[in-house]
Amino acid sequence: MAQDIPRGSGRREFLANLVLGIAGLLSVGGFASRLFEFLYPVVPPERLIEVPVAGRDQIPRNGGIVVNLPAGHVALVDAAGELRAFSAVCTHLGCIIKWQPEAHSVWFCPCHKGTYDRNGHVVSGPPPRPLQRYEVAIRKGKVYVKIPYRPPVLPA
Amino acid sequence: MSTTTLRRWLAARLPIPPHWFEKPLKEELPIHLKTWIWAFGGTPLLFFMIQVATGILLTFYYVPYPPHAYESVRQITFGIRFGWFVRGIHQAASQLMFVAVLLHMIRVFATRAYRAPRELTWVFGVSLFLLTLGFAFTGYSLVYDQLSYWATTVGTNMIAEVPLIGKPLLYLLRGGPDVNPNTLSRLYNFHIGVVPTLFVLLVGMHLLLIRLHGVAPLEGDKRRETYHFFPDHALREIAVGLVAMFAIVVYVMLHPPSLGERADPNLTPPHIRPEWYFFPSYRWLKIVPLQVGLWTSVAFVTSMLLWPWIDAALERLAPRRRLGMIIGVAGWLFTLVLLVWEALS
Repeated sequence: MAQDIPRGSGRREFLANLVLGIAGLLSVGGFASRLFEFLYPVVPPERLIEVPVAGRDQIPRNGGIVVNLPAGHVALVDAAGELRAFSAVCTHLGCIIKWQPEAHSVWFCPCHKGTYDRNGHVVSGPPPRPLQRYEVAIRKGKVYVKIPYRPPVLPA
Repeated sequence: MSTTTLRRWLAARLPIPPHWFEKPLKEELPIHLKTWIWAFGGTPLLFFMIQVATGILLTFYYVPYPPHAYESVRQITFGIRFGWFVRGIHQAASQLMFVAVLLHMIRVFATRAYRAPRELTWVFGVSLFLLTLGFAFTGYSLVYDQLSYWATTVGTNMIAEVPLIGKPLLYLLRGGPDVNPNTLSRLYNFHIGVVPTLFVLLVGMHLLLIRLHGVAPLEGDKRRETYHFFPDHALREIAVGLVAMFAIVVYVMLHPPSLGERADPNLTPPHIRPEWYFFPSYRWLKIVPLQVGLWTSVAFVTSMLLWPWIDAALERLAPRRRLGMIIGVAGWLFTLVLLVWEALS
């Protein structure tokens, strides 16, 4: 009398299920990866560019200003005649900082009340890192800053 | 054509067995449900339906492209006839939906209705709560005024802090590294397509499980009496819904929706603050380092999702001590403190 073999217990059936399972996973995975590529933006690489940001006389002595450029936001600060440049984007969650001469001369972020000193170091609040520092040069009374630039993903 | 003829005509074309309707309508509910506090389960769904209706109306005029988005919202609010009313209802219903979901969750939590075998009903419920926050975040981003723009920037930047997958996730959500024209169309798509689809699927699963398991018994309630879902309970839910709708209309007439200044990516406004339901996480991020804020938020949401199992484990660890209830209440109170703290600051 032939013995009843429970469905799925035979080696042949196991192999068939395994092959089917792998084939199914590969097809679904392949399809899903195409969908992911469809949705994932093509991000152009970042490169360093030097841009004129302001006239040297626009930055008050011991004061700071923020300059908004199509390439990014630059914070310029004068420290007893020495000029320093930083990214004006708060390292906490990306808001634009502003110079606050009345509050102990600090860079202040209005979003979560973080502050940075003239060197871009965190003074108080939640920012995890100092401000990103940029290379700065002065030529013929104009301030030039080297900033990382990425072309827009979509033409604006 | 008489009613009988019409009914016969319909019955022939739509041969749905009558018991399909009768069974859920005549469902026996435990008597403890026969109070007003148990009649709030359907209100989030009602608010969702109001938002679907008003949201569809808003899409007739809204333009999800940065140069036109703000202008189109301004036009809806101040130009188009009854635009203020439709936008106001949409906005107020979203806030009330959040309140209704939260009240419903607190009620389920307090009565421990999530215990086995109803854990998945709770998981789907918490997921619906998270989707409600997703609705609020994506919807708020579409206004494209100053607060809306910077809330989008801050909210999406948080994702970048997740190790390994943070940046790719951020790029996927924003459609690029920064907030750009892609971002608005993606958030719009999430708001009107992805989130509502997931929401409908999860509501379906949530309701199906409630029907399959039946209503959770109330701890300590020995009464055996029952009553019918229809008309008793259904009418109570409808009454709550009508009062809520009336309240929304009155609120919108007294406080028509406003609009801030146009979004300026170059200037973060001095008094930035998210909508009140994000106050707890906003305050939390102000007082703790970013990574701590991020991971405690992840832990909080995960423990909410897994609460039925955590509570059961605590029960096994210290029977009859109600440790789960104490920890849970402490968690709720802490969230409330953060909310009030931010509101008063």
